[in-house]
Formats: sequence, structure tokens, C-alpha cells
Amino acid sequence: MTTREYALLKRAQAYDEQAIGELYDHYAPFIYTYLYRRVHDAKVAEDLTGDVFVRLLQAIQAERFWQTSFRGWLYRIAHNRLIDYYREQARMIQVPLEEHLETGHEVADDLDTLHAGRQTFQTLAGALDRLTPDQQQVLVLRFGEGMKVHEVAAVMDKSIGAIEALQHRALAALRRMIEQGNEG
Amino acid sequence: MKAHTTESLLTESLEKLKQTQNITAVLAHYPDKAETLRPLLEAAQQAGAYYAAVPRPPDGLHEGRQRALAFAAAHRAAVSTRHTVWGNASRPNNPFWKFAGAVMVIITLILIPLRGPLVSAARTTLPGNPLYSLKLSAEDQLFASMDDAEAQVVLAISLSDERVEEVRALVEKQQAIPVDILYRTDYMFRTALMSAAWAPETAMANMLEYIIHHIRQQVQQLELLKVQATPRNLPMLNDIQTLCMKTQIIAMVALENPETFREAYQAGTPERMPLPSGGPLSGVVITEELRNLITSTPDSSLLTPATVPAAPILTPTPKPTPMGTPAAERNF
Repeated sequence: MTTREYALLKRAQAYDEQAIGELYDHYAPFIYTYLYRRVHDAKVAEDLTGDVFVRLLQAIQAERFWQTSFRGWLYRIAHNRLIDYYREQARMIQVPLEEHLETGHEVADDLDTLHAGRQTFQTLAGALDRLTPDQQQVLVLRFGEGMKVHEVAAVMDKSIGAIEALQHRALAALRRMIEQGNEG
Repeated sequence: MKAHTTESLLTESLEKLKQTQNITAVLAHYPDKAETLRPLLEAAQQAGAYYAAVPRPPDGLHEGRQRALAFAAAHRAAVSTRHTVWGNASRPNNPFWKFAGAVMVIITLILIPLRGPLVSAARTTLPGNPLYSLKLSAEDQLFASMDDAEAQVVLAISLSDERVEEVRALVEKQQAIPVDILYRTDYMFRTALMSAAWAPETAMANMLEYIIHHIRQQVQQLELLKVQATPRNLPMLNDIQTLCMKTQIIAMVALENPETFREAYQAGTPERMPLPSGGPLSGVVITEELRNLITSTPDSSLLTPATVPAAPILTPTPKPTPMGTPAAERNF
């Protein structure tokens, strides 16, 4: 954590509007992206992002963990909000594939590529959706957010060994389901 | 420990893949494990490609930003209000100080009987917690032990503050606001007005100013809470805020018509108060105009923490005013 970031967080702790605005502008896009990758619904992800920052402002008064790793702490808040969200929903949200494809960064040039791309995305979406929540979480944090294993461990409050095992099982299961999907 | 080795190797190879993006090049480092690692690295690459597609947020994340800033503003205001109330002894016009004696009596009363560990724990509980009923019971005991009108007004208003604080906590926790809070707040307000009606003339004016001053802050605090409230909590927030506004209006009208107020409340017929709509209490409609009048006075310490209310929004008029004169209309 840089000195400037620390100073910003101390000001946020005193509910300084400008500091909170700066923090939000910097981190909200990351949190939104992370949440979208889990819930696959842009509006829900956006709402949850707001919740995460309100929770951050509540927690910043009492907790000290942010002083060692603010980013990890923020993702942990987002992770906890997700758990609550899933409890509220009582089931995993289905992937709105059309939205996912239409708004993706890469747009296929021709119909064949588009069709192949759709099939790949469909297979992947189905496979990822069948992973356990913890497995999905590890994959999103590792390959979506680009976190290192120890950072994921901090966010998920698990040991590094547990995260490595989860990662291994998740990738093995994903591979197996993709192959089954392609065969089917 | 073979599994652990594979898992560690997977992590290591994934780090290399992140740098090179070339599976073959990475596997060259692990010839013995290449067959095992290749499908896992491919799956990781596919997952990464899948996660790269993220749509832009529909609202550009503006709503979340506003909620965060509103939350901060509400808390800044709460802190500032606490500091303001206790830090301005030199301000004789602050209605709080007109009741300093009563406040001290109440604080003492609160501290003495509520010292037990169970009751202390109950003091911070919210509706839905088993200890909450203990908290309400302790409040009722306080009321029962008090026969001084000033002390009753101060206690009733401070307990209505407590209800608003509970609403704030529930909104922040995104828990439903039970209707009991509305009824309890209504009870506090009616008790405060009733106690004021039985006070001597000068004291009554001060009490009404005190009620107006406090409820205005509650209205503003509830307004700020709406920004972060979930849709299911908004109707109850609106109801509580409307109740606050109605009570504030009654107190304002009472300042203009002290005799009418006294007669109506002492007789146990508050519906006889000449309210702006001309109807009974339940018929008061909070129009946008009324809302603006109530919330946009210079006394906006919650919205602008640096300022402190120096005077009540209405000057008490000791002269009795006949019931139904245009006095009420003048103020609304």
C-alpha cells in the first residue's frame, strides 16, 4: 500500500467525501467486474458494487485488516456480499448468454467464427456454472482478477494449500465438463 | 503427497503461463508432468478468455457512488451532531440547553438502572433480537419513573432518536424495518406533545421548540437514509418520515396556538388541533411544499455539519390565539 493510498484511506475513515469519491472511482470498476463475473448480470453486479462500498465504509471504522492489504480486504467484502446475495437468491443465477456474447470485448468477424465462438462460450458458461461456488470463486479471482494464490487465500479466508487444491479440482472439473460438452 | 506436488506445480506453471501465454513453452519446464498439466493450463486459458468479456455497467456505477457518498454524509452529520450538541454550551438559543437539567436527570436514570450486563447488551440491540424487548421494557420503566413534564419530553424525544438510530442500523444491514418502530415512534411523539401540553406556558414553548428542533434532524437523517435503503424498506422509511413531519407540524402550530394546543391535548382530543389541512391528525397530507418548508430551513445541521442552529424556526407567541385563526395558514 502506498503512502498516498494509506492517507486516502485514513481520510475515508473520517468519511471525507473527496477521499471516498477517489477510492470509489478507482476500485469500483474492479469490484463491478469481479461481481459481474460471478453473477453474470450487469445490473445486479452494479447494485452489489454499491453495497460493497457502503459495507466498506461501515467496516473501515472497526476493522484493521485494510491497513495491511486494502485490495484483499475490499475483495473479501465483495466476496461476503456475494455469499449474502446467493443466500438471498437461494440459487445460482443462470448465465444470460446472449448479453455475455453481445457485450464482450471481442467481436467475431464472420458468421462461422461467431457461431464457433457462441458454442465455446455456451460450453464454457455451462461448465463454469456447474462448478461449486468455491471453485468458481477461485477461478474468477485467479483468472479473471489475476490474483496470486496467497491473495485469493486472503480473500476467501483459506490456506494457500486449500486454494491450490481448489484450483486444481476446479480446472480438472472444468476441463472434463468442456470435453463432455464438446462430445455431446 | 503426490497430489500436493501436482497442485504446487500447477500454480507454478500457471504463473509462467501468465507471463508467456504459451502452453508449450511452459510445459517444456515440466516434461514429466506435461500430460497432466496441459489440459489444466488449457482450461485456465479458456476460463481467462471467458472472464474477459464484461459489459459496461448500465448506470456507469453512478448510483453506487451516490449511495457511498450519502452514507458518508449521514455519518459525518451524525458525528457532527453529537459534537454540536455537547460542544455549544455558550449558545443559549439551542433548545437543548433549555433542558440541560432534565437531560442530566435522564442520563443518570439511564445509567443507573441499565448497568447490568444483560441490559447493557440489550441497549444496542435491534428489532428481531431476543434482547430487544428487554430494551423496550427498560425504556418503559424509565418513563414510569418520571413525573416531570420537561424530563418526559426530553426522554420521549431521545427515545424517538433511538428509534431513528435503529432504522439507520437496519437500513445499513439491509434488514427490514418492522412496523413496530413506527408505532413506537408515534407513541414517543404523542407522549412528548402530551407532556408539553401540561407544562407551564413558558416551558411549553421551549419544549415545543425542542421537539421541532430534534424532529427536523430526524426528518433529514431519514431523507439521507433513503439513498441507501433497499426498495422494500423505502415505504416504511417514508411512513416514519411522514410521522415525524406531522408531529413537527403539530408542534409548529402549537407554538402559534398554545391555548388551543393545551386545551386539545389536555382534554385528550388532539384531533381538535387546527392543522393545515383543517382535518384531524391522520388527515394531514405532506405536500411537497410542506416538505420543503420543513426540511429546507436554515437549521440544517445534518446536511451542513459545520453550522449549528442558533434559533428555533418559529418564535413562540405567548399570546393566546383563537382556534381557527389564519395563524396556521400564515405558516403553511
